[in-house]
Amino acid sequence: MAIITREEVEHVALLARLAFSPDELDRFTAQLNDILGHVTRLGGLDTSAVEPTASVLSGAATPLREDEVWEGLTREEALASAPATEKGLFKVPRVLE
Amino acid sequence: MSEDTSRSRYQAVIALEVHVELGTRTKAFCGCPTTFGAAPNTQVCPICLGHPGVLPVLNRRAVEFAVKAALALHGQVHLESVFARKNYFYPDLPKGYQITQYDRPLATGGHLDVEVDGESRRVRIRRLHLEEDTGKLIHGGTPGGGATTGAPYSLVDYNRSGVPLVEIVSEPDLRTPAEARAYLEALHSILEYLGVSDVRMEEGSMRCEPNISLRPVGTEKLGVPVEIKNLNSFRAVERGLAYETERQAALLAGGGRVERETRGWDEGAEVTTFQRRKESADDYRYFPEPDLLPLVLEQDWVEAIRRSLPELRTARRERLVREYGLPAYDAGVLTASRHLADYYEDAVELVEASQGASVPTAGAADGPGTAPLHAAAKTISNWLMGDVSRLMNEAGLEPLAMRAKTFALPPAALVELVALVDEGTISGKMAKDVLEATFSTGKPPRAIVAEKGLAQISDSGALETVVARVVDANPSAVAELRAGKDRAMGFLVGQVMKETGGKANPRMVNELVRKMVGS
Repeated sequence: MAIITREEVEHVALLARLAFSPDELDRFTAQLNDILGHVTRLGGLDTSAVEPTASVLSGAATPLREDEVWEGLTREEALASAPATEKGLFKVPRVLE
Repeated sequence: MSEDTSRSRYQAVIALEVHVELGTRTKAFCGCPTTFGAAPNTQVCPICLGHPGVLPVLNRRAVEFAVKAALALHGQVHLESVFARKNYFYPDLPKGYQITQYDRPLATGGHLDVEVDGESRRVRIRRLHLEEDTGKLIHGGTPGGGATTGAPYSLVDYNRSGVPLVEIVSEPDLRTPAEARAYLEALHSILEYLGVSDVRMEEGSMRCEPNISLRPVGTEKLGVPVEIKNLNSFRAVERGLAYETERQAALLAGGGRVERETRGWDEGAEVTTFQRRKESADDYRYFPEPDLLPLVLEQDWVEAIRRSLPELRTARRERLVREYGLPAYDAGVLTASRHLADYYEDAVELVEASQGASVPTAGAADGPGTAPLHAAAKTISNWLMGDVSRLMNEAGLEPLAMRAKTFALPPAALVELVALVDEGTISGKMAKDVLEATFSTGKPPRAIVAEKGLAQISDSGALETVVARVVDANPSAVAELRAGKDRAMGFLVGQVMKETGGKANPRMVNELVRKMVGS
């Protein structure tokens, strides 16, 4: 039985802004089902005695820093790798919906 | 069916999602400054620009401020919470995701008591979590360069990207636009008292996105919610929700359906307009932020923050009534802003110090010694709520400005003005002019009085001469007064005021006239 449907793959592709051909959708749906099927084997393990973790470093806490200013980038440096800029701002394709 | 009747068939159910920028010096995950109004893209670094390979490091003060807010709202602070990535593509997020908290937020539960029309209602709070702000998009134009409508591009300023935010989500416990506004004002007050944010709605450091649905009166099932954005003032929140109530009621009454969508408030036209269909939460593909370990708080730290909580508005209002004998209304107005209340208490303490011996000892709070203090406390309250507020409004100043060292009317100046009236040097009417002069020049009231020669004539010898002259010149008025016509008194006092250029102490003139006429 399929774990992920072709429609779900199409939906996730849309969210990730990826355009797939019908052939690709078929192929990736099959491949993803193989991968997910493999991973599903983990579900056979008994984890009832294991604490859920949000990180691979179990028990560790995120370090905190003091609220002190660091030196950042100058505007020129910040904009240096942008494909397009205007008046100190990043210029991007129009996104207003 | 008229709109009024259709509206009365439905009940609005409103929940508020409020984002507040925390007043830290630096951003949530990097050391870039958070100064408002800096030139675009001058407060950025590889972390808040989302360059590859960088790692976020959480700001301790942002955590402290968020915990403070959660505790003041009676929430349960979780000693372990988890950051998550919220994924979506929009250029205000340079990383392609926002670092936020999802299934394990910093705090859950809590409540806020809200007063509408003298009635107190408890609004439950669902959660409070930490997240980062986004950059700012400027659509189809350049800042200050005029809008190039239809421009095929947008411009981005990432100064705000990564500024720490708390998101505070209420339960759908609000029923009217007025309640929603009252909730937001109460929340604003708490955050201002806590000092965790400058909470300026116009500048966007406090943003409110309500969602509202309608259901037939008497039913339980919730209707389809609509989210409203672009509400930049308390008034806009109330107006936007009122408009949306009408719009949805008219739709439903006409057999239509409300769509789940996001609408924008148009301040000029006073309407909401369609912005976008609401994506379902799953589409953000939240997952635990791999670059940050769980946020673990020491219980001791949380307790230390709890102990550091300042007195909040409700407690302060009650204390002002108790300690200074203020009417509840006055105390409510004065404590609406922490800064105004601080100013007020500074002024009253100066009076208290000057009254010295009359300060009541502990345990004798209701003794006769409190009367002069209570009288002065009320007088100062009157000035603040009346003329001082008016002058502040006219000058476009917010209460925070009253705490600046350079403020033209520091508490000591207001106390001096009150003393000038009390001791009879100037009349209450003249005091208004002196106040305005002090407010605009910063010169102390006594200096203004001396400079303008405003001091009242309170010397009884000098006044007697004038009163005698007026009494002699107006025998008919004197006769009327003797016959018990009080109107004549007004006339005689008026004549004395005229002769003295308005400088006579009216109370003394009154006494002198009565003495001479023998009425």
